Amino acid sequence: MSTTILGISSFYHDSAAALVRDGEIVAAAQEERFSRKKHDPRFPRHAINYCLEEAFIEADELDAIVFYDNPLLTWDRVVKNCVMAGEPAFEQFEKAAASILGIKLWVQDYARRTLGCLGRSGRVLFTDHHFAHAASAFYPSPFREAAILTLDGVGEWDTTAIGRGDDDGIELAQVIEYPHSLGLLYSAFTYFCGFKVNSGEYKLMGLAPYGRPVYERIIRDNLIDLKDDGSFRLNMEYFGYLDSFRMTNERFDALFGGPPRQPESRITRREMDLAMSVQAVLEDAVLRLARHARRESGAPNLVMAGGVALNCVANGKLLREGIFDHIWIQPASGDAGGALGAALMAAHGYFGSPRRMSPGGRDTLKGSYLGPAYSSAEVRAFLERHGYPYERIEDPDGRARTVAQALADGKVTGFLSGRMEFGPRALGARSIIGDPRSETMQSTMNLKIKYRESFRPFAPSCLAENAAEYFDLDVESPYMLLVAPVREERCIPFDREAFYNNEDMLQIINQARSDLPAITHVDFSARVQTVHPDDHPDYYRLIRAFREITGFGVIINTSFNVRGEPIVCSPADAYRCFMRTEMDLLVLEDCLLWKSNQPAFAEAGDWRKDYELD
Amino acid sequence: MSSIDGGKARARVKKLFFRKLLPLSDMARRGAAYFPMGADPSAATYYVARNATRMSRGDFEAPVCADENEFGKKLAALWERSGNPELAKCAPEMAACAGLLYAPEEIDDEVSPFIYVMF
Amino acid sequence: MSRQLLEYHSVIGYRFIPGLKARVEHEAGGYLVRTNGAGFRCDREFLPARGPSRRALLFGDSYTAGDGVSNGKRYGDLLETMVPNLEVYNFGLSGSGTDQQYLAYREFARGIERDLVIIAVFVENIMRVNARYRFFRNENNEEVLYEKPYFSLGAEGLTLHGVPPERRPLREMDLPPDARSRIDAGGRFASLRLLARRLGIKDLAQRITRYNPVVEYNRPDDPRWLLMRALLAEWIREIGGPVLVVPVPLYQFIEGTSDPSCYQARFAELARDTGCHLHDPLPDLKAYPKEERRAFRFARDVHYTPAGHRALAASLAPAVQSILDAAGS
Ligand SMILES: [Fe+2]
Repeated sequence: MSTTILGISSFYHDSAAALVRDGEIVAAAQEERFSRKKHDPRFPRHAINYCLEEAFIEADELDAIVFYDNPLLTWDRVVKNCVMAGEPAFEQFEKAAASILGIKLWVQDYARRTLGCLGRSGRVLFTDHHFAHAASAFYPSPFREAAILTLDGVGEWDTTAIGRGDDDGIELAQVIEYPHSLGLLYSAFTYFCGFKVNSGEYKLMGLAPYGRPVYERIIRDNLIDLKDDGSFRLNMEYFGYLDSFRMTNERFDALFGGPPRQPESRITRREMDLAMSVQAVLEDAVLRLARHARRESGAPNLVMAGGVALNCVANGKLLREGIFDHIWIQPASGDAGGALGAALMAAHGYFGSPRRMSPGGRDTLKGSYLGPAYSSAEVRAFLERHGYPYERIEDPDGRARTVAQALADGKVTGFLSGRMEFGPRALGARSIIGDPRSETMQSTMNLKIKYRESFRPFAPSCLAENAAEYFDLDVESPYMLLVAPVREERCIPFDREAFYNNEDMLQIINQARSDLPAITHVDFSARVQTVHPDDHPDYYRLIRAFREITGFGVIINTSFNVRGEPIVCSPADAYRCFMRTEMDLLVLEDCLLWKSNQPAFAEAGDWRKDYELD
Repeated sequence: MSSIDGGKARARVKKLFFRKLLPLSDMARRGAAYFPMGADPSAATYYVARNATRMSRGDFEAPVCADENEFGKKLAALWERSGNPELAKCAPEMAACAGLLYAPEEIDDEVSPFIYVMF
Repeated sequence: MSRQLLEYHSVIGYRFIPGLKARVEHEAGGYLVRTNGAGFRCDREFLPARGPSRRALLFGDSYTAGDGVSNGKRYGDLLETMVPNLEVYNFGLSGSGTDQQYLAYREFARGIERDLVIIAVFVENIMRVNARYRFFRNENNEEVLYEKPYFSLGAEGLTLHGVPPERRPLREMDLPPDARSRIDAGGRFASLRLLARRLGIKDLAQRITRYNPVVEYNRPDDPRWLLMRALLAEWIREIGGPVLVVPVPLYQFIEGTSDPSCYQARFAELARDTGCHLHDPLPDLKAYPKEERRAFRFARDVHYTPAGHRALAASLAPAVQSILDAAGS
């Protein structure tokens, strides 16, 4: 008898659904991709629909529906938080009551309405939040046994959990509890530097290399007490999240010389230095936590999940530190990954499905290509219906050559190929790609295509077997979760003092830093994706063709969206994004569309208003 | 995600907060804190050891609440177990609020039998 | 939010995208759609040569394609489980008129060996047969107008027009005034929807009591019926072998709020004059208790539920069986 489980995360941030059959991950997707509302927190009915579609089963064939969080414990935390904070917390309490008592508690009702039934068990199961994170990291990993480290803002009470996984399942032995949280600390600085909490953390990380850790001492002396064993506490006198809707308070402002940066205003040296400072503290904490996890678990390998595990700069340091022999990080480490974790946790922990290991020693996440694919017939149906001109190249090698040549000619290309990625990163299935050799490509792609801040560098995709030619990296990084140095001989040194005294970021950005300028950050690092032919043959083929043409087995890979827009899912989404931006070429499976051939794209209203800036 | 509309629910939540929870605040501040607010130089570590290090089958099933009454009972039991009888006393009032606030978002598809989603 | 299911076809107007596996979100939860390589919602691939099974080709609109239910729960698929040794090739095409179904037969089915052709005529199809344009809902949830192929009936018989139909949507305001009257906006339900908005549901309920949703059948010489009848007659003649015509009733007839006698009379005349078999499932469907009959359609969507499909299949199975047996003996 097979066991099929649907995992759900929702109501907080970035809802998602995942489906696991007999321990095998069949499907996973975020709701935002379907609803086209970034970080959509609503019940993921479209993502659920997709999961059932992929498995091609009826809802009443589900053995269980599992939610990734325990709303009773979350309510317990909210109540105790508000009691501790007293009268100023009333507004927060009122809001929390509406969302927890009014909505989150009734996940079973949502499931019944959406699916028309509750599957074979007739009820919804729940996992603890950090067990869901832990399961999402351990079960798909290539390790028979591993230490587990989960780090996030907060889930129920826990913000950090340390444990181990082995044949007997998952054990979480030690935790750090709310309000003491590395995720919330990092989010506080994200907010303070003028970025959005829960999505701007990535920008803060990207900003850090521009700065120096001049505030590190102040942070350590005032905001966080970090023990040698990695455990820590925050000093709540400086934070606002206990009793207000702000992450920081006036005392925090005083510590760092004034109020938070206004969103979208100019980024100053203070923000750059703050970003570097908090990054340094975070990295130190992660290293200490990892050493502790190594000692406690005795396991030679580490798996990680939770939003903080998306800090690939810290991950890269952790890897190079050599505390563990091997590290595996769940790419959907945020809330969305909780859906997958909940399903896996129930599969193994409740139904006793045996764990599936990959015989080849790789993970079982299928490259994280767990979302919907669109057949060539579907793509053509879409194009024919609208009369959009296209060229079909069925031969995969010929197609790869054509696209690679376009890249080499400086064309920016939207690339939709195969199943959509699960998690925040585009990995070649829904990517915008370009030539990393161009000095102006970073600015061009940022300003003309992504419509975003230009200080953020792009990530490179390279063939797994060639990674060491370009980067100091001797392991796979299939999920773009590791930052590695660009090889020294490729880098072009520049005057760092002048750099740190310069407030004009654009001037810095347009200065070549290596022979791969568009993907080399100002600290000569890169956020690398290594591409394995088993994971995505078409993407692999494309990079190989680019190497044959240019001698460089590296291309730029950035997510297929504009700022504030969810990554595209369907051919229609991709076409729309293509026409709204200055991309030159669109690849939809085996169909190629040139911008110069397309009819004028008329839209009612200003589409930019559809997307709230992230 | 949702705001409290309906004056009745709003009033009840307000009453819950000011009459039941706020009085507990002083107690919490006077020493019986629910969680530490900062560093403790005397502590060797800040890790908290979990009582149960694994999820049991029962743990998967425990949080489900069919209605507000079940929620109230489970909440009271949780707080009795955790040594918070002062909160357990508030559980029935919280359950009543949950009943008033119950507002799963409506899934409204206008289904027309002759208009097909296509193209 | 669901996938695009249909693609342009230069004769029929559109068909299902071949090789689809999709789940369509629906008020009852959702349903699974699988299409075969020919672009029809059928689990079987269409093979020209018949094997050891007896084979029926089934034509119809969304009631036959099974909007609202998964493939296996449709009456066509259920027939296979009720009639021994039967395979059903389902050519049902959502939103189509009998004219487009006839074109689908000519384009895709003519060369396929079979023992029986079943033409399921959702009685409201008569309005689509008389329409040249039809509203559909696009991916942005907007109602858009598409051209459809259509026939006219003259002294020399039927003439096909509008092939190939324009592939892109049209705007109602761009149509010449006389063409606007040839838009099918969703049957008489469209005007009912408007009425409901204007009057509210209660008033509406009173008005639809004894409301006849298909006036086109009222008289045998109504030109709209004459066109429908000519289409069916020509199709039946072209098939040559056994044909079973099944008028699929609107829910008002099943639930007893409308009088079916006119359309029943017209189909009886058709059978008499063409020699086709006729099976009217309405008496069987009406024999169920009231609450069960209401459950033959969804809460809001008026398509048949799995229960409705079961009841229709149960009514049809003996008729199909006896035609096949008679042909085989
Ligand atoms: Fe989390």
